Formats: sequence, structure tokens, C-alpha cells
Amino acid sequence: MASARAPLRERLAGLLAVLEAGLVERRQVLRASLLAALAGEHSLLIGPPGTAKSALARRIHLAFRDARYFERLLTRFTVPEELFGPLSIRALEEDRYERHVAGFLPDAAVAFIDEVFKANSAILNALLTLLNEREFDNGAGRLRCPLISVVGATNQVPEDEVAEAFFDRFLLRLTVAPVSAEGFRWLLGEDRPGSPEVLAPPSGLQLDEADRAALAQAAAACALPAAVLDRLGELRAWLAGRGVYVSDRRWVKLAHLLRVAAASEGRAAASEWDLGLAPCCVAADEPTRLAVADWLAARLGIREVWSPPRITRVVEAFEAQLATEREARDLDYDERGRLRFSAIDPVATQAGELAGSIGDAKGGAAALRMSAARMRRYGSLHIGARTAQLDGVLARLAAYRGELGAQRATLEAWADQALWADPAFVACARSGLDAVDAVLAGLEARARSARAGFEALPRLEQAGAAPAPVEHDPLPE
Amino acid sequence: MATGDAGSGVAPAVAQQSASAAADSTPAPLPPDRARAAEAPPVPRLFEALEAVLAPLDRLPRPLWLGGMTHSGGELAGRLAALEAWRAALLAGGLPGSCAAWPEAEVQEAVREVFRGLGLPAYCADQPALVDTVLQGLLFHLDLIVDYRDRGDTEAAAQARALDSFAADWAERCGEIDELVGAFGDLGDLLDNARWDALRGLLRSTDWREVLRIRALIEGLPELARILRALGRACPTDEDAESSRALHAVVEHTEIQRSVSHRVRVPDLPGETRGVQRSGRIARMLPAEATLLGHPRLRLVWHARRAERTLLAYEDDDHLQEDCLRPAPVLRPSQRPAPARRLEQGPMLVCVDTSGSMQGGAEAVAKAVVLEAVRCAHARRRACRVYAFGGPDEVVEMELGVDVDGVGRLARFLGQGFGGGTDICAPLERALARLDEAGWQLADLLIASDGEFGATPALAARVEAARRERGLRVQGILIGDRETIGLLELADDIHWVRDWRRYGGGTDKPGGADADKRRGDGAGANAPTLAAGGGSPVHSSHLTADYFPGALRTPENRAATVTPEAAAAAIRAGRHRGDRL
Repeated sequence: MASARAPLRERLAGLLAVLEAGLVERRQVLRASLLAALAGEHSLLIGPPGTAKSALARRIHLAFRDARYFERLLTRFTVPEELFGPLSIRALEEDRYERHVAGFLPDAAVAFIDEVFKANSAILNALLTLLNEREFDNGAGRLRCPLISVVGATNQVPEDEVAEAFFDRFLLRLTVAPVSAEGFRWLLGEDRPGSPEVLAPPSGLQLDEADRAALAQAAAACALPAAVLDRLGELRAWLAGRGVYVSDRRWVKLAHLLRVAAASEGRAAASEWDLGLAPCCVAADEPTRLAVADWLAARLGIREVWSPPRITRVVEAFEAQLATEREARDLDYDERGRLRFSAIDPVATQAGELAGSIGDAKGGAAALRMSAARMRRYGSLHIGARTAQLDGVLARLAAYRGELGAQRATLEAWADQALWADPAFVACARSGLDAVDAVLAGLEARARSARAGFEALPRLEQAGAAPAPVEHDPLPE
Repeated sequence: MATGDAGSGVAPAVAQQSASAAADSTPAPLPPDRARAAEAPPVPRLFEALEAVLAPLDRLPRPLWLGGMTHSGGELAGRLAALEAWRAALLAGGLPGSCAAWPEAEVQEAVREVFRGLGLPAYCADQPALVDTVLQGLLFHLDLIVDYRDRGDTEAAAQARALDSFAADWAERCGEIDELVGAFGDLGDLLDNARWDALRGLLRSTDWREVLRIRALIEGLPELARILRALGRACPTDEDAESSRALHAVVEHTEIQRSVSHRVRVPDLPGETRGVQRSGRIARMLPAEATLLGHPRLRLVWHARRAERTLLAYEDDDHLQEDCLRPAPVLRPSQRPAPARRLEQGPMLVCVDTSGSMQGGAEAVAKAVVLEAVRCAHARRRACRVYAFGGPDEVVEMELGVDVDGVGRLARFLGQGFGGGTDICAPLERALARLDEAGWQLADLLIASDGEFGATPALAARVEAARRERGLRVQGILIGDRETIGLLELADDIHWVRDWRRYGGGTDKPGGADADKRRGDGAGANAPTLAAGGGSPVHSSHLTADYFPGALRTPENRAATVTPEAAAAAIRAGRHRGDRL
């Protein structure tokens, strides 16, 4: 049945378009939460009241066909009956201690739990077990729950043991901010449908059990390339260096998330660019998330305009060498071995500078200046050696550009497919790589001009040629 | 350097200095990786493999960059790696394995031969500055091979010529290094490539001959080295100080009971209701549980829950303020005097008498003191300042380090003759002022003089105050025949160089012999024998104190004397010695 329908990626694209309709600046949060749901993970929305957190959760629920939805606001006085259903009196009369779970959290596929950190000790353990193992202890038996994903919401993260316990259960921690100034106009002007039922996506687009199973299978077959593993390892070491501990379970879940992201876009392997999802998985708070995102951008070479430092130094060295060789002067001997004085070549400019700097009341700048020095001349082997070295540098630069080109190609291929990527991240990556390309082109141009400069150095007269015979009067007998 | 080449008119003698200067001024738009690693924006992964090939660049010192990158022979990456290998091997005092990709195979063995012939690896061991200079020179000379060939040499001849000029260059430098090591024991910052020519000029000057002569002279004065070593108060020794002038504040560790107040959470204490929990307390039970009691069967549930303490109940708790006493370690100053360790090895302030009365042997000894002070300071990385005193207002203050400028100043100072008055006040005041500056608080003062001077009472009082408050120690080196009040009252301890006359012989200074004779007159008829034998006419280091006790400015003497005004008044009043004023 699933195979008869359009490929998953196209359906997801259509689904996201429907789900996003009417939301302002919630594209990324919605996509990330849906991805987490597809990966069977829970997501936590952190943001002030009135920022469409519950609307987001309701839309996530609409992505799945026949998924039951449960929504509850927790307080410190929430009793178990409110979450897990009332005690069954009938069952009690038959000496069984059971709850009526129908319509409550153990029976829901997508749940939204507001103020999740307010959970009190009476419900905490059952809730944690439900989130983690998707099972609920009902009387004598353990009930398997159809839970796909829980969307938690909170205004702020408290610092107590309850928060610790919950925090690790939510893989994605997404910050929801009030809309920006531009979005605000749109928010008020937009006429949006009132209730979620109106924008329910057509059932052909919705995902069912078979789709999820197929996706899970594809994700399991999806590879994590060595580059991605390396980056994750480096990120782990970097975080450890900053004293941030991320549990092993979380890294495993992050890897799974990357696989699901790749599989849902129809790729057979995850890409380095998928790592844009990592910051909100591994960082516990907003400053850390920004720092991780910054680290990642720098590591991927897209944080700022940068120039590969060592090859830049090489090009600069050749420029410095060229300047030195150009400015070197020799004494100018004529063919008879006497010093030859000649007017200094750039007489006008030099004298003009001098006059400008010291004041030239008597017009001395116009006087002819003579010098016995001439520009040093270089032989063809010397120039050949320099240009050969520069050719080596140019070959290196070509290799750099080749690598950059390959990198840009992977970026473009990935961005074409990307469903979950942040457009800002894609734009940043694109412009970063473009800037590096421009820098490399600049370096190449500098190397070429240095090469031309070496070739244009004054040349030595033909080496080794016998000098012309000196004419002289015939010797007297 | 390449002067020979320039003379023959074949080689483009790109001045080495200008090349290294160009390398230094090479702009680097991105700071080197090491600087960036401080707060880690990581190195971009892009081009990592390509950049890694050039990694030796980061480890090579900057002066080798330009030559290493633009050299005419070999291939960039291999050359940089080879340079690094050469550098490491030379620093370790050896030559690199033959696998090094640069210089080219045909030159490499010859280069090794030159290095072995000159013994360069031995010079280079643990001398990074020298290694860089050597490698820079090697790069420079081998870079000229193509130019020699351009001017008609065959390949082999060009290589031989380049190696010959390298060898000639370094044969000369090795000799200079030997000379410097002989004089200073260590090269210090002298091998800065850019100043090599200045150094070479210095080594050829007559002043330098004088330095060497005095260096030889120090061998005969082992006591000097010991005294200079003991100057300053930076390091404690194992011996106890014989007299501790400054009161030593000692800090003791003790424990006191400190009151610590903290809040404890007490569950079930009536106070704030925090939420709902499972409990057996009927008093805090939720009303909903009470509904169970009305049903005939659910009553049993209620009882079961109560028995299992699983009734839903309000969760109360409150915070209790609790104070308790905890022992805490503290430091307490104690007035109990502790035996202070004798201190040594600090900064040195050296006052040298350069007055005319010092001419001859005394001058040589005073110069030896200065040279030894500089050597000693350099070997132990101690600060050293020399004050030369002559007449009023002619104090010369010198910071003498072992670098090119410092050695130049030193050579000039040692090379010039002494002449002028003996005003100790100005240099002493400068030295005392220096004691207030950062880095010099632990300095000790050394006065090398023939003792023919006198300090004003005010200055003597200042020195005494510095001694009392700062623990300043003043070491005198007496280069003369008799102890004088001036030196005796300034110095804590006096080392007497009695045989100073022995050291005057080497100078050809015209005034030297006359001065000796003049001095000799003062010592009476045995002066010639003294000059010849180096003996001393005195038998005690406290001759003055023995014979003229009233001349010393001791507190007792000071109390026993009166001011001129008071004395005049007393005489006018007709009083006599012994009468109370």
C-alpha cells in the first residue's frame, strides 16, 4: 500500500506545506519536531507563553493518520487520574486494580504536555517510564502504548532533579521565540483558519503505521559516513573540554535522528550538512546551543570568510621574494668595466615625492639625478626555478579549488533534497563556501601575477657566450 | 656574508638581512593556528588534508619561512619537512638522516661534509637562534646555485661554489662564537642574525682585546665569583643568616570554629504545600480519596491504599534555618621570630669607582668585577646594573645584558681609561632609588673602589635605613692598600683585594705606572716591593677601627660628639670636656 503511493520525501514535502500554512516563523521548530516524531523521539519546546507551542503540537499530530491526541497542562497538584485515566470500579469489583486508559496518555499516539517540569512525585515515575519505554503498568499487566512522540512545553527550565530527569528524555530542545518585527505584521494581517480540523491534510499525505515502519527500516540501512562520525567525535571532545557532559544515550539517539533525516529525504547515507541538527540535540541551554552551532559552522568552514592560512603564507612569501628581487640593485658597469652613470629611471615620481615631503622652494626636484646602480638582472635558470616553484604552488591551489568544488557540489545536492534543514544554515553554508572560493581565486590570481612578475624580471645577457672581440689598433711590430 | 661573491661580480648578493626582514614583514591576514587555539574556534575541516602537508610551516620559526618557501631547489612540502628535520637534528647536536628530501641528493652529502668539517652540529646543540641562522644561511647559499649556473658555471662547479661560500661564511662565524663563549660562558642573545655584523665589528675592536685580557685576569680572583654569587636575596640558601635585620613575620596555620548557616528542607513539616504525593497521612489526604469511603467495596480500596501508604495526599514541606559550627583553617600572623634563611642570587647593583685614583691595577680589578658581574648575571638570568662613579654629576648608569648592544657597551666601558673625581653620593643615590622599583627590591649593592671617598652623613643614614627596612646588603670590594672610613661605614662586609698591583702590568696606559708610583709614595719606602710582590702593609681588615675608633660613625660616637654650634656655645660658656652640656 505504501509503495503504491508517492515516495515518502514528496509526501513529506506536501505534508509540511499543509502543516506550516498559517504559522509565522515556526517552520524550523515544526520541522524539527516532526523529524523527532518520525524518529520516535520526544521534543521539548522552550519559550514564553503565547508562542504557538500547543498549536505546533496539534499540527504534529495531524501528520499521522488515525493518531490519537492527548493534551494536558500539568500543575503541582495534578493527580494520576488526570493523565492515566480513572480507576475502573468494575475491575475492582472483580479484584483487579486497573485504570480506564482509553482517551488518556497511555492510549495516545501524539501527546502535548504543557508545563512538563511541574510534574509532582505522584505522577513522575509513571510519566518517565511512559516516555522512555512507551509502556504503562496497568494492574497486573504492562500495557504497550502506541505513543509516537510527546511534545513537551515549558516557559523556562528549572534547576532541580525533576528537570534533570525529564531533560534527558527529550532529544530535541527547541527554543520558541516571539515573532520578529516583520513576522508581527504578517501575524496580525494573516486570516488563518480557526481550528486545526480545517487545515487537516488530506489523508493521502498523512503517514500511517506502514510508512513509519518503512522509514525505520530505511533508516536502519542508512549509513553514517566517516566524516560525520569524525565530526561527532570532535564535537564530543570539544564539549568535554568545556565541561559539558552529553550522555552516551543522547549521542546514539542523535545518530539515529541523522539516519532518519537522511532516510526520509531518500538518501542512502547521512551527510555532514545534516549536522545542522546537532546543536539543539546536544546543548542543554540556548548559549550552549549557539556555541555549538558556532563551532560547527567554523569546523565546516562556513562561519566567516577565511583563507587557508598556510597556502596563503606561501603565496605571500613569493610576493615578498619578488619584491626583494625587483628592488635589488647592482652596480652598472659598461663593457669596458667602468661605472656607467645614468639618470634614475623614475626621476619624476621620486623627486615629486621628495619635494612633497620636504618642500621644494628652489625647484631642486627638477634636477637630473644620476646613479651608478641598475636593476639586478637574472638568468633564465634562476627565473625558471622560481616559476617552477610557483607552478607547484598553482597546482596546489588547483587542488584546493578542486576540494572546494567537490564540497560545494555535495552542499548543493544535499540542499536540493533537504526537508529538515534550516534555510539560514543553508544560506550561510552557501555564502561561506562562495566566499572561500573567491578568496582562493584571489590567491590564484596573486600567484599568477607573481609568476608573471618573475618572468618580467630584467634578464641577464646570454650566459656563457664569448664576448665580442675588442677592437683595437693593430699592435706595433 | 656574500661579500666575496659581490666582489667577483657573479652572484646576485641578495642581502641576507633584507631577505629575513622581508620574511618578517610578510603580512599574515590570519593569525597563526597557535594563537587561534586559545579559545577554540576550530580549524575548518575544509582543506585539512591539503594544509596538513604544509604543517611544518607552523613549527618552523618565522625567519626560515621566506627562504624555505621560495627556495629554488626541491619541492615545497618535502623541503619544509626536510627543514624541520634538519632543525630538530641540529638542535639535538647531530645531522638528520639521509632520507631528508632537501637539499638535493647530489649536494646533500657535500653539505653534511661541510657541517661535519666545521663542527657545526656541536655549536648548534640547544641554540635555536644559531640553528635558524645556520639554516637561513644554507638556504641562501644553495639558492644561489641557479644564479652561478646562469653565469656560466657547470652544475658541479656552481654547487661547489655555493658550498664553499657557505663554509667560508661559517668558518669565520665559528671562530667568533668560540671567542664569545670564551668570554661569557654562554651565547645568550648574541646570535641574533640581524646584528651579526655589529657583533663582528665589536669583536675586532681594541676594546674587545681589553675584555679578553680582563677575562683572563678573573681566573686569578676566584673570590670575586663567590661574592657576586652571594649578592641579592632572591633565593634562600640552606644556611641560616648570621643576623636577620628585618623582623620576619611568620604565618601560622590554625583552626577556628566558624558558624555556618544553611537551609534544610524538612518534608512533612507544616508549611508550604508543594504538590501531591502518595502518602499514608489521612490528615493531608486529598478529598477525592474520601469519596471512596462511601462505597461498600471502594472502602476496602481506601483501606488498602492507607495500609500501603499510597493515598494521594498534599505534599507539605518547609525550610528550617540551621546554624552549626564548623572548623575552618585560617592563617594567623605570629610575632614569633623565625630563623631567616640567608638569601642569595638576586638582582645586582654594582657601583664601580672610575675615578682617577683607580688607574692601573685597581682599574683592571674593578673592570674584572664588572665583567664577572655581567657573566654571573647572564649565566643565572639575574638582572644587573652598573653605576660608574667619577666626579660630581658624571654618573654613568648601564644595563649590561649579554646581547649585542650590551656587549658593545660593556666593551666600551672596559676599554676606556678611568679618570675623574670620586663622588660616591650620586651613584649611591641612584642605586638606592632603583631599589624602590619593581624587580629590584631584592637587589644587593656592590661597591668596588679603592675606598678613597666619603659619603655624606645623610647618604650614610639612607643606606642604613635601606639596610634596616629592606634588608639591603652592601658588599664592598676594596681595591687599595688601606681601609677607609668611607667604605667601612657603607659596607656590611668588605672583600679586600690586596694584590691588586699584580694586575696593572698588562696595560700600556701611559698614566698607569705613574699612578702606581704616586700611590706608592703614600705607602712609604716599601712601595716598590709591594708593587713587585703584591703584599699589603696592613695586618687587619679593621685597621681604621683599631687605630682611630673615634672616626667611625657609630651611634656611640655620634652621641659623644656635638654639633659645631653646640661646641662653639660650650666653649664660649667656658665649659670643658666631660662637663654636661
